[in-house]
Amino acid sequence: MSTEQIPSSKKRKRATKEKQHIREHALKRAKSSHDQTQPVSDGQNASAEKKALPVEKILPEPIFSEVGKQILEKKEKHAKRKVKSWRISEPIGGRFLNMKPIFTKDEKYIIVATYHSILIYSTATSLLVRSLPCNENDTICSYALSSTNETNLYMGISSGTIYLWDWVERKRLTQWHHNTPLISFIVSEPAAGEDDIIHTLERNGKSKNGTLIKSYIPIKGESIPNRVTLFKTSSNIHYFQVLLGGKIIFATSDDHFVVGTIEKESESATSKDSYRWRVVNATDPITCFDVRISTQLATSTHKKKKLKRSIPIVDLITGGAKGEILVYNNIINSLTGIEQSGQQGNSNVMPRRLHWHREAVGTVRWSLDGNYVISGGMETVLVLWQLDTNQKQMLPHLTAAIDGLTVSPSGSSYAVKLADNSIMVLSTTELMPKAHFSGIQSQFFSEKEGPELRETVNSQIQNQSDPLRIFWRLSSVLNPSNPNQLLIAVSPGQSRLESNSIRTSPFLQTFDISSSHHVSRQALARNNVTNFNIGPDHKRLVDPDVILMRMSYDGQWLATVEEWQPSRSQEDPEEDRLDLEVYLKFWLWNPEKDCWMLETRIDSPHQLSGSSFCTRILDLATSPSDIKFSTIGGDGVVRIWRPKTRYRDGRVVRGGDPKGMITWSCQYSIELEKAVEIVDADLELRSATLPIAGKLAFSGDGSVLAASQDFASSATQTLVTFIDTSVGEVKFTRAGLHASGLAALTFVKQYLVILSEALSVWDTVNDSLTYGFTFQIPPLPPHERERMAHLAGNEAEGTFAVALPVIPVDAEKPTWNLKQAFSKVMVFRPENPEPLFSSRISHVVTSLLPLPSKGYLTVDAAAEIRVLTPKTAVLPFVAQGLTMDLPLESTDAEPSTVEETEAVNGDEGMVEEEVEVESDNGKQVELLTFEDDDKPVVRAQQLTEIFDVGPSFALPPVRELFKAVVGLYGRKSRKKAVGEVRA
Amino acid sequence: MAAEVTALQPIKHPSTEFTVTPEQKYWRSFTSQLLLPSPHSSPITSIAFPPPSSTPISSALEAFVVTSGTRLQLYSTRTRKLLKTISRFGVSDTAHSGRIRRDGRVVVAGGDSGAIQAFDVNSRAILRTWNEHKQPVWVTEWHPSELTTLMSASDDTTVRLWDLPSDDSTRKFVGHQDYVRSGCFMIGQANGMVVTGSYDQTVRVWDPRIADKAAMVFKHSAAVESVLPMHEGTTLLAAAGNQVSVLDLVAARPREMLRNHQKTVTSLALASKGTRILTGALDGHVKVFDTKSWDVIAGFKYPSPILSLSVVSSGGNQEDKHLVVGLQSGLLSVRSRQSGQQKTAAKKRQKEMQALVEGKIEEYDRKQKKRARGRGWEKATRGKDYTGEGADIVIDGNSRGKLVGSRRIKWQHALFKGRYEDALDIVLAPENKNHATNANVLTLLTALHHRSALRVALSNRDEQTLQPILKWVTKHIGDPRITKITTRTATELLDIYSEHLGTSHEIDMLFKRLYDQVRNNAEIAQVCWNTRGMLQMLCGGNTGT
Repeated sequence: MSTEQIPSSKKRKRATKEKQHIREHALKRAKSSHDQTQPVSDGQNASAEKKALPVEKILPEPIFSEVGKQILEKKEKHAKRKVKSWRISEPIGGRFLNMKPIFTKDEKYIIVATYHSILIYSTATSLLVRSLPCNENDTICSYALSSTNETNLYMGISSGTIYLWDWVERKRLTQWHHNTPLISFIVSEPAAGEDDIIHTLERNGKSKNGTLIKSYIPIKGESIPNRVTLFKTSSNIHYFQVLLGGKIIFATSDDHFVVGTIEKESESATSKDSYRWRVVNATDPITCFDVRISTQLATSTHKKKKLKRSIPIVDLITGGAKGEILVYNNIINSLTGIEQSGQQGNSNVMPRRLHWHREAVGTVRWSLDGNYVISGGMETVLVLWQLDTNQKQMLPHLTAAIDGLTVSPSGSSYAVKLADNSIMVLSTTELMPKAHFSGIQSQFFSEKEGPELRETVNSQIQNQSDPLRIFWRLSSVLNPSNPNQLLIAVSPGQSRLESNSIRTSPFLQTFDISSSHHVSRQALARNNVTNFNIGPDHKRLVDPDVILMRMSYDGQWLATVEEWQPSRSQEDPEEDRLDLEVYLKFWLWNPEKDCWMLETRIDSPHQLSGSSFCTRILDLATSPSDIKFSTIGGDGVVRIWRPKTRYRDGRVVRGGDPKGMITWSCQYSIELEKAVEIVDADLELRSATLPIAGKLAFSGDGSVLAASQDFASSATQTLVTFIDTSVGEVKFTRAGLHASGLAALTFVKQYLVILSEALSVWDTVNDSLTYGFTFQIPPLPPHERERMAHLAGNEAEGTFAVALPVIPVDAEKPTWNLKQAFSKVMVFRPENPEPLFSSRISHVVTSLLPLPSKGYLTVDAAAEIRVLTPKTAVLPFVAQGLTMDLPLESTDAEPSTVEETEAVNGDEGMVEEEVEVESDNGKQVELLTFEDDDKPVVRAQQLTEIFDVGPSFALPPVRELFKAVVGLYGRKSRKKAVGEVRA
Repeated sequence: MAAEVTALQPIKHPSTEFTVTPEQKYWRSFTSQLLLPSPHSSPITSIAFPPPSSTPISSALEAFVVTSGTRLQLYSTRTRKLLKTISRFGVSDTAHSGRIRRDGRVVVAGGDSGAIQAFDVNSRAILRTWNEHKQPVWVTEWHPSELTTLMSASDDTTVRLWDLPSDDSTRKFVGHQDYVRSGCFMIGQANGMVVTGSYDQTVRVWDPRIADKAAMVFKHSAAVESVLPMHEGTTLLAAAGNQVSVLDLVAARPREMLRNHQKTVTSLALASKGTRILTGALDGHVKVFDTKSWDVIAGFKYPSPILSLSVVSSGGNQEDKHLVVGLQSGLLSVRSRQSGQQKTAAKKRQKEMQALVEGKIEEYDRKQKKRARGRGWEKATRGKDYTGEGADIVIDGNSRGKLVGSRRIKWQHALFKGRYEDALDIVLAPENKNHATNANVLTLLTALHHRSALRVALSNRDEQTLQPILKWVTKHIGDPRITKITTRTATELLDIYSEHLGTSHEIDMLFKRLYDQVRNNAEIAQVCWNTRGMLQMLCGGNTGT
């Protein structure tokens, strides 16, 4: 031990000397320039005192007390003018609603909805063909196709309005207002008459709990309909279903279900009194149910006239929170039977029990013929129960929990809604996927829906997790070689039954923003898709979490950082650190296989020296000019990683690749200055001096890497270290550039922007602070703030953007009010403290990325993408699905409707016209041919070549002439037609 | 869309810099060393093996000749056994440089008396004696292509050429100023030329067509102990002192100096069809050089100074077979290597013998027969013998979700089914020794940890089932690469079974051994830490902590 102390004391002296030197240097500079370091701390103190400011006012406050006022005044003037120079796009993507998807009658389209629009996908091409938006501040809660008119679609808004759309023409037809908040509604076929009947499930406006079922016949032109309340209850009804035009209504609450039937045949289903409601208790919360009218009814309709009170045979299945499926055959008859027998003995109906699911059943459905029950749930297995034989057929490993299922009208396919925000259409016969469409699969915050689950795996997870974790930074990146592609690390899915539970994200989703289309999904880390997803301790297995992701400037290399820790019951930090697994992975894009291929995996890249403890990677950065990545770890070391050709025995390892295989290794490892020099201390003490946050930023040309750390003890000074990336040496260290609570660093031109408790912009050329101010951020714990505050610099444009979460605290309970949370986004120029743009985004931003041209992109906790651009700039991409509509199957071989044939004919007519025009005008044609690069147009010369071969008596036979001409035109018109369709 | 069940990825350790190269692996495969003492423990001065000739002689005796003291010994290259001893030298005489002609009929050797003698191998009769040299003859060598021509070099500084039928030397090269202790004929392009190395520190190349003058002279800094021409005939190696120089005959200058030995290099040999050079020195090391890069790629250490060495090749494609090294202490070391085919044949024989001993020879034969039919034979012939009526086609069941090659990865199947204990039992079962490689156990333990099932898999074991895992942990807890998983397993084991200690003697002993192992490793770690501390002090402030 004594051997170590001598050098350490020497070293300490040297280190302190160096520090002093740096500090003196810094002080001198500061004094000579502006005296700015001092006010920063003043501003901090002031801000600490002004804690109670309302959250809404997060306008930046300049720290400079004298100049500040003037700037403030100026800014307010400017702000009004300038704010408008930027715009924020409509949200793209979004989470599909927790409703079963709807097939159109011809099964060509599937209708789903997000909060902001109803989306219509084609089952043949998996492409989005229509989107019907709602008003900006509204959210869609439900949708249904009209039962009488195929092209009509009802859209329900949660505030209590139902719109009627013509979805083919994309026209809003009419609307009906209710005055109570809507949960969902069902459109059913009328028993007689032509109009639909709408049954709504509404929240009882007055009390917190309680729901109503109302019904009405929507009549066009009557905006406030005459509604009849059919059922009123104090408990919460989650799901309901209507049969036979309202003759039978099923509804489920937490632990019971209600059956309503019309007692008197003669009365119409419009008055409350005509219903008789029966309540059946269930042992477990009901998570899903389905009813079907068996086929016997069809035969009994004749008898109906004879038997005045015939009751149809209705079969009910329910799925419970503990995985039980109950089948109630002929439920209504058995219920009435019990009643008629004088309510003696056992008043319960005896269901048939099917139990395979370990966890809550996500969905349960009857097949069309009633012989099968199809169910699915958290186990990611689709189970087909053959009721007669008790056989089960399974489709396992669907990668995500099953949330919903719809059987198509003809029964030929199932639409399975998966928890990873995707819908898959399976053919019924071979259970192979026919179509698949997916939204953004990122972590998503939603209000609780469905019944309360107790003592299940899901609820255990809920209790453990940190509530704010759902707003943590999403690891995402835009592909530089194709800026339409957004890559995000996604979880195996968030089931509706465990809506806000935290799942780690081991997968990579590639999402095309321009077409709002899911491109691909692949695994980045080990996952439990094909494994038992529950451990022997009855806890859900945790997948590794991809926490950081960066792509090299050429889009060829992807670096990811993943962490894994086993879920533990007892809290033991020492043990925890031992169990932490951190991997740094480098992926190479493989164009042949269209996926990222793992090239190198580095296990625990930041291991604490002299121990087996693996520390976290705090930040990952990529050089903008070079294939180079850099990491900063919890051990206070910055590492620069570079690729190199793999050698074995002095020979290049080729492995099928002629250029040789590439491996990544650490080129430089730079130890940053520690807060306190403790060389000879216990590990515990040492770990206390480790940084809790660290951030990196490459300069625009990639020559300088700025690194900064944040320590737990607030007394330590904050340092920014500048590293020459070509030699891996510390060139300069600057103290006091930012306050504690480091959240992000970025370079914009020559300015270094630092986001901590304050925002400061530092000019690296003049070595002066350009400006800085503090924010009134709600008091988040430091590790949360670091993960929820976002900063992005757009080098090309010379601006930077800041996104900060605003999460109000419930006054009564000391909990976060997550529903009211939103984010504030501001765009600045480094030269000017006035924000160019400031806006509020109604959900918490989880990712902020600079666009390669101008502007920024945000992804938020509602899984929506927004694009911020200057108004002058051309919007590089907007989801075309939202602005443009694809034609609906105009290239059909056999057009089914008259309209479509007309359309096709019209197209052909146009083609012919163009031919004439073009063949008349030779020059224009030539231009066209140059542009198109093939020969789609007929030139006059070509015709003359056919006809002017000699005198008329020496012409070839007419048949050959005809063939030649048709050859010219036929080729042309076909290509042109294709072009038309694409356009 | 259903994800496919794939086998677990085996855990790989990161490759370290001290990996065994294929070259090292090759040279390490020269095993089963045979140490043969020479009579009177006289040092072994020469080992000779007739160079592979372009026209192989079928009746050639496959043998190498070893010279020590007053004897020449002929060993068979096939059996490594002594075939013949020729000891017709005088009492005070010492034999040098016994060389066997490539047809294996005649052996020639020089002697301290200055006489050169040619023996008939079969009868051991002296065919001819030349007494022209006045000083000890240290070098005799057969011409590589002419059967009757040979050369000699003597301490009287002369080099002579001989014709077997004639009584006198056919040529005499004068030019060396000191003892000539090494020499041979050139091969390849310079066929027929003679190269010699002398204690006057020169290497001379003699052309029989030029009279009285060396064609080329290379001056060295120390006495030349050995020369060796390479196959192509343009490169020459000479050992002078503890250095080996690579001489380029075309450019007439040294190309490379190999300074890898500490003491005088005494012998040089070609191996692997002329692509490798072996050097032996008085420091007891044999080093293998690559002739392209002239880097040392492998090495051997011998207990005594090396005086001579040779690599004996055999077979149609001249594979290296024996590495024969003669030592100062009089020991002859023969290391041999089996080619791939020989190896499998030997293994098969061994298995057959074992089956015979165990009385399972019939079962073994059946198995062999089955194997000989090849894979898929049963599949191809399935149903061929079926003659009855019934179903037209039998369709196999749904194969989805089946692991491929399920027999191989039984333990993975058990893991997949959630039978964690079974998986561990299978992977550690003694009958699965071939499959229970470390990688498998390691992969399983890691997978169990990832599924938080390690404790479940380890608990509820009895005296018998606890032993394998305990033994495995004890064996591997010292491996620094897998410390995390071994310590984790050991901790869990102690946690579960500590209360049962003392109930079983065997388990107690195993825990005791685990304790010893851990203590040993802790001591080693302590030493490493001490060293680190000292090194840190030495490095001082130059490098950080």
